[in-house]
Amino acid sequence: MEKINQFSLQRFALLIKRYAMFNMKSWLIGLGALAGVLIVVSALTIIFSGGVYRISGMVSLGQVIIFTGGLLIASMAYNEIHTPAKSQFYLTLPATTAEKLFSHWIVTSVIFILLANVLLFAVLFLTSSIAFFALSIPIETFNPFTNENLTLMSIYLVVHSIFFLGALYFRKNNFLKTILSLFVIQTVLNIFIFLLAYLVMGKEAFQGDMQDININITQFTTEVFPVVMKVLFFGLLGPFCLVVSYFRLKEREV
Amino acid sequence: MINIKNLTFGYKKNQQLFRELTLDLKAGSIYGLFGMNGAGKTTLLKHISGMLFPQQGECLIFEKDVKERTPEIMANIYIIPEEFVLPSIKISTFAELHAPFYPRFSYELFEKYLKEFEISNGKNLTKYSYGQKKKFLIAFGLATQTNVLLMDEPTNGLDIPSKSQFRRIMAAAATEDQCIVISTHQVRDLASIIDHVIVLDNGKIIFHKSTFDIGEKLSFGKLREASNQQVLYAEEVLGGKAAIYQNNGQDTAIDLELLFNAIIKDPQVINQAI
Repeated sequence: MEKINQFSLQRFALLIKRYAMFNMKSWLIGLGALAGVLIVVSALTIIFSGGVYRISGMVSLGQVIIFTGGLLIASMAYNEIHTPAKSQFYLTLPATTAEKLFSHWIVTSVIFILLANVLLFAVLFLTSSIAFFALSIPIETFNPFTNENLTLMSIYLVVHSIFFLGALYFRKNNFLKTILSLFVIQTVLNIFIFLLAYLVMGKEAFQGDMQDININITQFTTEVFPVVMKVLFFGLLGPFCLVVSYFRLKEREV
Repeated sequence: MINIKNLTFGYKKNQQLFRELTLDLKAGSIYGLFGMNGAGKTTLLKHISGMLFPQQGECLIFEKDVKERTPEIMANIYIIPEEFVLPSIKISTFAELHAPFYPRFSYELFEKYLKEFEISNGKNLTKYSYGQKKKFLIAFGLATQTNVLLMDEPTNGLDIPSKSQFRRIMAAAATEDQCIVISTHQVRDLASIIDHVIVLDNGKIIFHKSTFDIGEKLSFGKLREASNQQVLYAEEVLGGKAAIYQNNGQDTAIDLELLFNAIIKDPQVINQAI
């Protein structure tokens, strides 16, 4: 093991392995539950729909479970450091903060997505095959590389970083507290925008009479706003949460 | 090796545990860190291991601020905490996952210490008793061969034979480039292995001497009425009174418990005598 303070791939790989070994049981239970739910719902669909079975419904259900389950896993990514009797081993482990942060991040985001999609593909292929042999329903397969699924997974990556920050920030009930915080931030932001609009434009801002204002509202809402939001969401929100997480972990005491 | 400079720290804003605490610890020594409950022993070890950050001052190891927790610094420190929760994995898996972080880790020594402590290497760590877990951690900590080894109440939870094993292992394991700090209440368990005594009281170092100096300047024994030796401290024990005298040539074993009580009662008297 090289005794350096720069990012070391060897230590990074070791931290990934450590995280995987420590959490393997709960991950297996979670992924098993995902497979179980899909198999049961598929079987019930086949039985009660009179021989009609389309996997699109199952794909949506699987995606919802993956998305929610992934965020739950992200919220629990740093459970170890919130228990003093466990955190002393983690905090004194000779690795850089970046190695410690990204090892947990990559397992709960990228590796989780890959595993969950492979599992979804396998389970849906299995249920579709059973439907084919039992009821001669044509086999359908789940394609993880559709635009819809890829977009959903990229959204997951960004939302994941928020819950990942929540995992470091809050000591208990991280998942629920992160959702509550998002709600509070959204509400505060809405009130701020409301007040700003009122201060700048007065009552006209809420009367739909915007003729006097020299802004092309249609162009703004259809062209400018979505681009700005996409840049903010995909380009800035994720990295921002990761940077804050980095400093949170660096400053973490037992 | 370890330099604590003007360390100020408190868990609450208005209640400071340490105020400008300064302490230097050298390699090649085993320090016994003693103190009453709440004196700050564990907190001090947490500062040395980078788990807590000073509000003012600094804690340096090899002239580097441990607060940075860089791999270079942390690869030189191992702490065996008093309270811990071990992961649900086997001993071999624990070693496989953690040993590579410590460049001087010796699997050979690890096996040797486990064998001496009579810990079998097949069960899940969570299945062992508290004492067995502690012995496993001591074995692992010693096998890391880090320059700084911190032990918080290492003999807590150990049975009588294990305490002897611990003393035997410690006496053989300590090396010249290592600085070992052992914090404990159970002073009798450590009397034979430490070479420096540090007493912490109310967040201050009230006593810091080598056992050589203590043995040279003080003598320990039963209170003798007719003795012309100056009595520095005496307390009731079974069958009479135990006393600390100003040494005038006698070679007696250090009674750490008596010494500790004397220091807590009046540190100035003992410090002036040494």
